[in-house]
Amino acid sequence: MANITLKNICKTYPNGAEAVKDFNLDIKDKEFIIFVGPSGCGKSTTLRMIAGLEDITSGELSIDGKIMNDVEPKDRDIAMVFQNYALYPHMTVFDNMAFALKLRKVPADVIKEKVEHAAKVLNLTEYLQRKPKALSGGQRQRVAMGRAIVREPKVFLMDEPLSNLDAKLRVQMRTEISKLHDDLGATIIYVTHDQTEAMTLGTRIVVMKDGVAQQIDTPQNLYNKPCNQFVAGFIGSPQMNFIDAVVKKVGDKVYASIDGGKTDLLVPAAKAKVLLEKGYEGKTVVFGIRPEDINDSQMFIETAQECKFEAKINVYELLGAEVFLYFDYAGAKVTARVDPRTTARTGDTVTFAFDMEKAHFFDKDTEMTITN
Amino acid sequence: MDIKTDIRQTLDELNSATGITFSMDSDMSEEETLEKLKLLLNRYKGVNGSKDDFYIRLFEGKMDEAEIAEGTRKFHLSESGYKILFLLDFKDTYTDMDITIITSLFYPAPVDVIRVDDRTLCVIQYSQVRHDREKIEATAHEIQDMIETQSMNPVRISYDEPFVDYKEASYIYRHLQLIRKVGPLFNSDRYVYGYYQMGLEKILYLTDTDILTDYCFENMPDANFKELDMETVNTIRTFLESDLSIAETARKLYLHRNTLVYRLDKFQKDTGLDVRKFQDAFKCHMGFLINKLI
Repeated sequence: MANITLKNICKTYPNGAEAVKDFNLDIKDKEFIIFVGPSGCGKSTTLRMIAGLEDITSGELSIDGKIMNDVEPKDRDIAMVFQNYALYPHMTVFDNMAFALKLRKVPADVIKEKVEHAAKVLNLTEYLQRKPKALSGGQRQRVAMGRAIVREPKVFLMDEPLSNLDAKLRVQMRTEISKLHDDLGATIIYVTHDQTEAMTLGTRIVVMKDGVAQQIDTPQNLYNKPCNQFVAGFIGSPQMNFIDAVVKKVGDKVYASIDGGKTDLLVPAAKAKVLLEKGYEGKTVVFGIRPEDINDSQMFIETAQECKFEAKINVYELLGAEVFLYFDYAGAKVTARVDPRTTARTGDTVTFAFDMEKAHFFDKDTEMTITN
Repeated sequence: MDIKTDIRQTLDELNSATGITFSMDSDMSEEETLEKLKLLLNRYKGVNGSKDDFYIRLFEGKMDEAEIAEGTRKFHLSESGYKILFLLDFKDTYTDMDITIITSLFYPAPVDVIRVDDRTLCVIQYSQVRHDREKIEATAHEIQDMIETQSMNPVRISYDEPFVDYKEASYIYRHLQLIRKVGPLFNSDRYVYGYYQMGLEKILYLTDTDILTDYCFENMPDANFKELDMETVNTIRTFLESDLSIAETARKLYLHRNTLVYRLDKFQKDTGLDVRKFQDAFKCHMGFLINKLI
């Protein structure tokens, strides 16, 4: 069992720099929690505070109800896997995994049992007598994981453990870590700057920026219902498109007027109601639309006559299963993700239509979501 | 430290090293007395001291060429090839486990671990090839991550360029002494510091604070860096790090470029600094650094 609670956690360095501000999070037993955000957002600092490698300036950290603020890292029953892992080159896989236990004078038979169990979980049994140089990158990474597993901790803390691997191996290891979480049934806190890694691994994700948790939610909710413009832009690749729009009411219809009034996009009733109720009529807001919600198919355009527009394609990018079309529209750089059978090419002027049911609106000043 | 204290401490050290209690009855000047005492201590340690003593006195520049040559012979130190010095500052007292981790990490390559005090270790890595900065930094990160994950003892590591001749060790050590102080001051969320990485920071650290305060007052009278919120600081810092490119900064911060422009305008209004211009960007960079210092 490992329920972790972070209550009003703050970190301020001696030079006055604030790294983490009023961080609150309840992590349930066996959860796979991801801290994600751009460089310098405070995600690694938060992880290091949980590990005990950084002092907590204020607030309370507890594991299973026990306050941990002043407990030594080695007494917190945690294990860590960091980015710059190294294996002892002269030792076998078995010895690499057993090393920390030997130094802690754990009996040999217990070590053997723990290492063999970890090797089985990680599919390393047949490599136990090999030296690191005879292993592939992925196998070496698994040995590093094995060193953490043999400790049988309550909580695993991982800080960008895959970032030293090449792209192909990273995808493969992502699947293995996910399986490992299921097999071990352990609580894992995982730090990454890679939103794809976050979306594919986490049961819940904490999106951080400037030391503040912006949104704590499931991957699906983060994608579909971002709480602000930052989360909307950070989650999803290519990122959400943002265009300034003025909210306009004509009769009983509400439009998002863009490009200086050249295009009026009909806002669906439910979203329109929220915009009006919150007093945005006549005001400039930020209209957000994901690349896959910009369509170039004739069939869609025919059903969305009040949401269509034309643009000249700057770049055509074929990725196999999908095509990215890049163009300038209403003063913004816009990306559309369309079907690979599209006939659009660089230099063509193409008619598109926004899927306004999927539109997001943000307050221009506060950047908070008005409606998703 | 005044000279009388220095004499007393050297005498205490001599007493402790030799096990003999010395007393002073000398007509020499205090300066001469101190010099003789230090010479005596160094000679004694040179003959009877441990390898750690040898290295520490070498680092502190207390040995002449003959003593260095004698020490390297006595301790069978490799005179050829490159040496890389890492300075490890532990948050808590290090243990034998930390030392075992380090030596095992390098084994079978030769490495010396020197106990400087109960929270400081020096590590000398020997290599026949010259490692570049990237490789040395990667090694420092590996040491840090291995110690923190295996023995769970927080550590900060400073390093410099490789050296060949042992005479250079004290020069390198002086660099590390400086960077171990400068690094955490300016980059509190980093744990590995290369001497070459913080040029301006080192200059500012060594500059009189009155001069720095005057610089801020004269060049940025309206800017109060302590009052800036984290979002503004991160936005401006990213803009400076992105070579003043709006597109690149907006991309890194996941912002709409209009939002970024709005923030830059607001920063200009609040501080009088238009960071889109090089001169103001430089002043702003200085302001951020000085703010961390004073």
